Amino acid sequence: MEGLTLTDAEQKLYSELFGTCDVEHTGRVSGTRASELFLASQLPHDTLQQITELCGATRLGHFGRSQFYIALKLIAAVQNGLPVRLESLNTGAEIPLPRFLHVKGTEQDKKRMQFANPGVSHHMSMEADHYTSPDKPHHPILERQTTHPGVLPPPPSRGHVRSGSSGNPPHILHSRQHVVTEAVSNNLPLQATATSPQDSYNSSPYNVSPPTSSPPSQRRSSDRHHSGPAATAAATAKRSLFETRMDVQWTGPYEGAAQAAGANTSDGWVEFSSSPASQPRGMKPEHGGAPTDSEEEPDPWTITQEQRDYYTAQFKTMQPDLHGLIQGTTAREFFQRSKLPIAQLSRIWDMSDVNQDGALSLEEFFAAFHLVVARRNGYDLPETLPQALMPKSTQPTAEEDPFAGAPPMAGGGTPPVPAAAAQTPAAPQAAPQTAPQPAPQAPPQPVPQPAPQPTQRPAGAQGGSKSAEESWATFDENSSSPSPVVQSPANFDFAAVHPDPASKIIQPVPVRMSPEGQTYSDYRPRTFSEPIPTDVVNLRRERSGTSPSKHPKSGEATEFTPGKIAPPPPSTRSKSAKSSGKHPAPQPLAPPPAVPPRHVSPATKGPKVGQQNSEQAMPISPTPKTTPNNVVNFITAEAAVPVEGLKHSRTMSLDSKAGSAFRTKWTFRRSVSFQPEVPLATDTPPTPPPRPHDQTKSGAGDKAEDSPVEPPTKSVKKKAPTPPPVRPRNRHRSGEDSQKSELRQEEPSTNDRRRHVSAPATRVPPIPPPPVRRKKEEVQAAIRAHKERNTVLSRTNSELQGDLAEATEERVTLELQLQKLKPFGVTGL
Amino acid sequence: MTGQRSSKMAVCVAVISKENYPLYIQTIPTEDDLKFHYTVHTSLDVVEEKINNVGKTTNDLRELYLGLLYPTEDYKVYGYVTNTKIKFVVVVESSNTALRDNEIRTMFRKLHNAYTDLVCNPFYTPGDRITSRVFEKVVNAMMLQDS
Repeated sequence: MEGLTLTDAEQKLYSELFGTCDVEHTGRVSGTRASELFLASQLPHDTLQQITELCGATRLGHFGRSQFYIALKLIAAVQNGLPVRLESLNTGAEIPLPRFLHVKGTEQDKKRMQFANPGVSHHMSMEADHYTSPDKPHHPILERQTTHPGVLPPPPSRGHVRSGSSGNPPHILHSRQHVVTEAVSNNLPLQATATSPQDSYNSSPYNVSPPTSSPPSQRRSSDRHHSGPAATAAATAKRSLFETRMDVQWTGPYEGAAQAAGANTSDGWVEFSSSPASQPRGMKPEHGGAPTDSEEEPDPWTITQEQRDYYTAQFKTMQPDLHGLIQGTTAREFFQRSKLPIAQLSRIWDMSDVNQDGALSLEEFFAAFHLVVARRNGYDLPETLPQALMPKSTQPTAEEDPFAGAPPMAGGGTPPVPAAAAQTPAAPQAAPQTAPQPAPQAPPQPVPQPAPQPTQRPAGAQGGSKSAEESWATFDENSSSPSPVVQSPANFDFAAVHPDPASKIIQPVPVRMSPEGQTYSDYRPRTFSEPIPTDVVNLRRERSGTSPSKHPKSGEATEFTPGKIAPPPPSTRSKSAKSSGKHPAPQPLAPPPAVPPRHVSPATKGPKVGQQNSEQAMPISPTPKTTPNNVVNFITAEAAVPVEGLKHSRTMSLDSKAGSAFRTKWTFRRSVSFQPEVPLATDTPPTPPPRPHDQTKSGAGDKAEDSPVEPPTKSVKKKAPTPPPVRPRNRHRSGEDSQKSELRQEEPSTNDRRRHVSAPATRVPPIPPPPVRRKKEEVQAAIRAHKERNTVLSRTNSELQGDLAEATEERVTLELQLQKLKPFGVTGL
Repeated sequence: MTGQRSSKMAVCVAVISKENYPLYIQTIPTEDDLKFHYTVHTSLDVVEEKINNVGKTTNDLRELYLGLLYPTEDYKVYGYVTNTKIKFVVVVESSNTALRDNEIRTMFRKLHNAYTDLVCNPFYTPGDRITSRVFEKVVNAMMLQDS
């Protein structure tokens, strides 16, 4: 600037204009916008050209702040008869503020309004046209008002403009809106009242009615009136958008401006003038809010008391109980009356229904209503619920989460969007977020500093200078209740919920397994015994000693469940198993059968084992207790000889039944399987049967008898194929394998158990209740742990399932064999 | 969305109504959308089949999760159906082996919750295309990282 000195009024006005023009908040005004504004000054084109050149914009290609100011001053000078020269700028004479003429109801005006009224105007003007529905009187008003940003308030010099400012920021917006609206809809009574609407808005939320008729004049008067009360109201800082719009306050300052402006030029213009004036005023923080612009931006989202009362009244029409909820359908009908598109209503609902219950509480209703009003007045919908609207009651944590409201209201990119700014925490955030609001705005918000405001305003082009004060005011209010927080907590709650269902969803199988494992032990149809290498088996056997085959199973099962490797069921069996190395039929069988098939153990043991098994089986059955031992033994043995063991047991039992022949076979197989057992074990879902057996161990008793037969058969058959027990064993690997194999041998019924067995193998530690309430990290960590566990469990489960299937098959085959061999086996034995 | 893992999770997320027309499809922007749309479309058959089979078993939440529908060489497709026959289909990269089944379930749970919230909105008619930004946010979060 070439030493351009501006008076306060000029400063304010220019700032406002600049803000209006600089919609992108880039700090620059494009030539087009500037020309629009300049055209409104009704100066000849040539003059404007000269001015443009003089200020240096031609060189730059755009209007920087200084260029803009210079141009404005030149315009003012020219308008007042001074030549177009730079010297005019510094004549020192008091040059009235540039006047921008707005044609009433013309698009131009609207544009200009918008122009002048950066944030608000854009939407408003548009809105003004759209929303004439009387549903919300304020709406149209608001809309209109906003469209006037471009109108330069005539001479702030009047001083009125300044005065009314209490709601300046809002006023400004309003005034602008008024202007626009008036211009636009002179007819609209609302407009006339532009101020009135504002008033009504403020004072009686939707008084639309009053002065609409002679917009400017009325406005002015109403403004005056309003401004009075409005100012106060504004002071409440609630003024947020509506105030500005509705603006009673506006009227105040606005009136001054309007009057000064002489209401002639388009109403909008007048209003506009007031707005600029008001802007400056707004800046001044009547509310003390910092830059009116900036303040206004965030402030629009705060609900003034008048609005609140109005909303409450509306709420009551639908729901007499203020603590109750308005159902979704009712609310839907109500809001549809506002004639907003369903998509926008849907978004508004998404934002306002913070607890997502499909109904609106009073606070939520406030938020929704406010958003509707804002939208109707041209404010774009924010991306997230503004802090000011966050139902404080719903989320105590709302405060903690400033960002909830903070998220810049990208909606429409209107400066007013940054409702968040309203909140203290939000303010700082909003400030930066809101368009150009420089950081200072946030802090300054509470401090209505005219100086920063003008700068900020232009920068932020909040266009809602009114908001400055209001925002400030609201800011204070909101600071206490960061609405955005509400959102996050809500979300958080959901998140909290998730873990629970998650855990449920988490493979149920795994969960079940654990418990089942235990039960499994009881059942243990499949005596594990087998899988365990003879040595192990022997050990088991010794351990189990008494345990009849059955027990081994169950014992194993029990042991198995906990994940321990149940020793082979009947110790005898184990012994046999172990001793044989390959496991003499009976012995090897014993353990394995004991374990896996639980009751099979005796039978599975093979000839010797078989006998033993049978004995054991018998005794086992009745003595489930022993089984556990067996199981334990078996399991341990099993562990060593996972799947294999099972198989063995099975074969053992088979042998016993079938006779030594089988036994031999079985033993052989067993040994063989044992060897490969280990490798097989790695197979993971080896024979399902073994696994289930383990689990079914519990049922061992009865099964024992059967299983011996089956297992042997099965085991015989199974031996060849990868020992199923190995598989299950593998799964467990942790020692449950044996159980598994046992189980497998046991019976198909044990399959279920087997699963459990495997589960125990994996021994999924109980998942601690998700620390939902703890920090996110903790929750996440827990979630991850859970996930991993789940994965493991699911894998185990699938393995076991496979094993179970195999075991079942084996059983069937073994049974068949048994049938055939029965006579033989008897003899064999 | 803890953001702990920034690996991409889902490559494509789709919500299909019970009449089997899409309500919402979102893919990661860098991929060929049509390919995913087609994949989702073809997966509907598998979903139907699973629904019919699943119906025979106990009706629990597990059932809602259909699991891996079918794997292609590049992608794996997971399915989830709600009680109202709204289907969620998620396509993930096969190379993303870090993805566990449980994580997929979590993803579906989130989707289901987001959908429930969407339906709570009285301005949303079930059967309409989903335009809710809240819902989109949930989906985008899922697509960008491991849920």
